[in-house]
Amino acid sequence: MILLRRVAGGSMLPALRPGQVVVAIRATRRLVRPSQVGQIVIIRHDGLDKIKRVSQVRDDRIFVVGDNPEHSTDSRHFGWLPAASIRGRVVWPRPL
Amino acid sequence: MLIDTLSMLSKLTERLVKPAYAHCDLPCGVYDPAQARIEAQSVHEIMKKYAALDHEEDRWRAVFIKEQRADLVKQHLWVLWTDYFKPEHLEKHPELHDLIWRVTKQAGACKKTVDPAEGQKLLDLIDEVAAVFAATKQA
Repeated sequence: MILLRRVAGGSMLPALRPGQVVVAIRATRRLVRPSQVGQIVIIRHDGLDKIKRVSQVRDDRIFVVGDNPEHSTDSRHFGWLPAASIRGRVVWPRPL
Repeated sequence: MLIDTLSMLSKLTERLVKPAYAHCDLPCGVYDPAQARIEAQSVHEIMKKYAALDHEEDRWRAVFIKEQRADLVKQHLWVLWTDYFKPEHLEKHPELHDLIWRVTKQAGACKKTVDPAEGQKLLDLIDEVAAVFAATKQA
């Protein structure tokens, strides 16, 4: 239900600081909605949990980007991700 | 109240909680002084064309772009300096620090002038860096 993760790295600055703990609601639905654009999500990619912000939604795929684009590896590099790669939606701290 | 509780929880669990990576991958490892040289060529060409520009807007724009390109020259050289060159390269090429200092200084000098001779000096200095770079690739 609840997913706790510690932010590693600075790609989500200034919204999330490295070392900060975030609380996420586990994703149950396997569909994405346009209203999810702007949400911070924990995704499973390449064997790692990563934390990024949803920048675009298309059908059942998402495009995620770090808030600090100069210091982020994200969909600009690894492409669109299936909605199923979302592990959780960050609810605390409240996404800006 | 809820926020305070969560904040305390966050401090307590900080070290126990698994990471989610807000990361930037390892550097790609692609380095080439040609990147700096192309920007320096733009600086040099703009200097050569500047005098022939009739309109004030074009001259203004030329200066603006020249400044940007000169900054990119610095940026590319700094990346080579801090990320590519290793202590063993410096042992074989002890002039490297001074060379990078002089060439990035020259990139700064190119912002202050539209004299193509200054742009040519920049290109020549980048070629010296390129020679050191090529030598490290052969080693």
